[in-house]
Amino acid sequence: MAYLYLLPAFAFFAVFAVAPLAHAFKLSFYEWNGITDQVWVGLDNYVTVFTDPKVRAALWNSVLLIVFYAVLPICIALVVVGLMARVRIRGRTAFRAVLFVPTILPLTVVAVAWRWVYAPDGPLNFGLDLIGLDFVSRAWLGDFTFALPSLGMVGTWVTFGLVFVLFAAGVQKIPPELYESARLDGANMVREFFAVTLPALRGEITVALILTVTAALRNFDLVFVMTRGGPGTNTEVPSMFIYRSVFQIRSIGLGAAIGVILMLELLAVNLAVLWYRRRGDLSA
Amino acid sequence: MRIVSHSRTLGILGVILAFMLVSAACSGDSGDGDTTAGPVVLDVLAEAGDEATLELATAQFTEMYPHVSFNITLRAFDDYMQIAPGILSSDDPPDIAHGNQGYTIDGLLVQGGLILPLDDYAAQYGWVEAFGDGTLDQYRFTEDGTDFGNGILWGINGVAEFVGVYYNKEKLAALGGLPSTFEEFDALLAAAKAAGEVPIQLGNAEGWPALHVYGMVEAAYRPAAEIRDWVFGEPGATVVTDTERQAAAKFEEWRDNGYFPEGVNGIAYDDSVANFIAGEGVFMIAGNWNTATLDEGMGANAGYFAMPVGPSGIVGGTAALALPWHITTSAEDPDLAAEFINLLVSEEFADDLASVGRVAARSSDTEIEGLLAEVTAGAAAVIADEGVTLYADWATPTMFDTLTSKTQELLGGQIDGEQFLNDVQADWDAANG
Repeated sequence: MAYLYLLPAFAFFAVFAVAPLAHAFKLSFYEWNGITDQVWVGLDNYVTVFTDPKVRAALWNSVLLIVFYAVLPICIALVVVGLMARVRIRGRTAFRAVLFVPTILPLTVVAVAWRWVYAPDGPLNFGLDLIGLDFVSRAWLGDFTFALPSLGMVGTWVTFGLVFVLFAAGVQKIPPELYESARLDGANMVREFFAVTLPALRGEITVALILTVTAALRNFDLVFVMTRGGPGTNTEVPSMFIYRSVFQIRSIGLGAAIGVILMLELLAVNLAVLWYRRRGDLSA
Repeated sequence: MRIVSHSRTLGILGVILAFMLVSAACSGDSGDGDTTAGPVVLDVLAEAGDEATLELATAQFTEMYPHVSFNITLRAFDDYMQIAPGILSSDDPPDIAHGNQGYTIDGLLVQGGLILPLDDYAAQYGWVEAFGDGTLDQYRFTEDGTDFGNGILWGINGVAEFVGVYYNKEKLAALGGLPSTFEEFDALLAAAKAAGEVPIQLGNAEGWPALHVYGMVEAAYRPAAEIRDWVFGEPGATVVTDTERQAAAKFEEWRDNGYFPEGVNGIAYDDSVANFIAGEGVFMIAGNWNTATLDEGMGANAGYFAMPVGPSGIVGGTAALALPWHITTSAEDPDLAAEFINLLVSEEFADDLASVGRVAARSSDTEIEGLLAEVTAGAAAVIADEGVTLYADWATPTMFDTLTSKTQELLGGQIDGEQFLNDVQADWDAANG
C-alpha cells in the first residue's frame, strides 16, 4: 500500500530515466545510422571502443579532469574554510555570493568567456606580457602541453564556488566548544584543522566529490565550445565521442556503447566514493 | 562535410533533443504529382546561409507561378546537419531540403530512400552540359547509397564554394607581382617572411582551416583528377603517392619556416579573418564565402586569385559546389520542386547570387565589381582548368575527425608530414580496404 505513494514519482523516473537508458543499452548492440534498419552486431561496438586508442585517451583525459574539477577545488576550499574558522572576515556573505556565481552561470557562457581569456591576444597573455612574462604567454588552448590544464582550470573555477559554499555551511554547524577545547589543549591552526574541521566536514566532502566528479566525467559543454577535443586529440573526452559518433559519423550504436561505458565509469567512481565514506564512518 | 565558420554553442540538452528526433520513426508516402493550379505550398528546409538567396528566388518564383507560396525553415549549419536526416525521415518532411556531399548525409538520405533521383530533370534542364559532368559527380551516389561519386544524380547547387588565395594588395605590391606558378607563390612567401610579415594568415583552432591550405599544396603536386579519385574512393586510387609525399614535405617546410602565425592551433578561424583584415598577413588561403566580410573590412586593399598549381600556370585546389538541393520522396509535386531548383541554379539567377555575395559556378555576364568580381573570375578559371579537387574530408565518414586532429598535430610539430599521410591513409584504407 505504501508503495502506491511512490508510484507517480516512479512512473516519471521510469519514463524519463529508465526507458531511455534501456533503449541506449539496447542500441549499443546494434549498428544503426538513424535511418535504415538496425543490424545486430553483438559486442562489436564495445570492441571498437576499447581498441580505439583515441577513446582510451579520452577516458584517460576524463580521469585527469577529475583532478581539476574535484580534487583541486576541494583542497582549495578546505584551506579557505580552515582559515575562516580562525579569522573573522568582514562581508563573508558577499564573498560567498561572488564565489558561487560561476556555478550558476550556463557552461556555454563560461566557455565562451574563457576562450576569449585564453586567446593568443586575450587578456591573460596581455597581463603576462605586461608584467614581463611574455615568454610564458602562448595560445593556451592550441598548445599541446597546456590545453588540457587550461581547460581544467576553468572546471576548477566553476566547481570551486559550489564546494566552498557547501564547506562554509558545514563549518558553521561545528560547535564552537570543539574549537575552544582544541585550543585549550594547545592545538595550532593546522592541528585544529585536522582534528576538528576536517572530520566534521566528511559528509560535505562526500557530496562535493560526487557532484564534481560527475561534472568532470560527463564534461561536454566546455570542451565542445573551447577546443572541440583539440589540439590533436589532447582534450578529447568521452562525451565528445558520443556527439561525433551520433551526429558526424552517424554510428548511433557506437555512441550508445560509449555512453554505457561512461555511465559505468561514473557509477564506479561514485560507488567508490560512497564506499570509502562508509568505511571511514565505521573506523571513526 | 562542408565547412562554415560559425562555431555553434550547443548544450547537452540540444544533443538529447536532436537524438530523439534522429530516432524518430520513418515514413515515406509519395505524392502523385498533381499540377493543377490550386494553391500550392512548397516546404523548404535549408541551411541558414541561404536565407537571402531564398528570399530572392522565392519572390521571382511566386511572380512566375502566383499559385505557389513557400514555407521556409532555416537552421544554422551545425544544427542543420544534426537534425536534417531526422526531419527528412519524419512524418512531416519538407518538399525541398539541403543535404551535404559525402557518406554521412547524402549517402544516408539515398540509403533511406528519402530523396528523389534528379537525372531526368538534369536532362530536361540541361544541368550536366551547363556545369560539366565531372563537376556534378559530387552529387552522385549509386542507387544503394554506398558508392560516392558514381551513378545517379541526387542533388544540385549552382553556388561555387572554392578555396582561393586572398591577399593584402599593399603588402603584396611591396614584395612583387601576382604569382603565376606555385614556385612563384612559394618564393613570395619567403620574401614576405624576410620582410617581417606573416606570410599566410591562418587560425586552426577548429582543425579544418589548415586543411584548406594543405589542399592547395596537394593540388600543386598532384593532378586534380587523381585527388578527386581518392576522395571518391575509386578503384585503384590511393592517398599516399610520391607526389603526395612531396606535398606533405612542402607543407612541413612552410611550418618550419614560420610561414603561419605563432600559436596557429589556438587562433579561431573567425579571429584569423579579423587579423587578416587588421593587416596581419600577406596571404590568407580560405574559402570564397569570406568575400563579403573581407570586402567590408578591407575594401579595395583586398585581392583574390585562384591558386596557381604547378609550373604550367593552371589553377585549382580545394573547391566544390555548395550543399545540394534535394527533392524529397514525399514531395507533393516533384516537377514543381525541380522547376524551383532550376531557377536557383539557372544562369539568369547568377546575378542575383552575386547581389547576395555568393559566387555562381555558372559563368554569366554579371555586372559585379570589386573583390567579388576577382573571386568569381577565380572560380571560373578553376572550373575551366578542371582544377576542382573537392573537400578531402568527404572521403570517409571519419575523415573529418582524422584530418582536423592530424592537421593540428602536424602544425603543432607533434608529427611530421610522413606520419600525417600515414594516418590519413589508415583512415582511408579502413573504409576503402
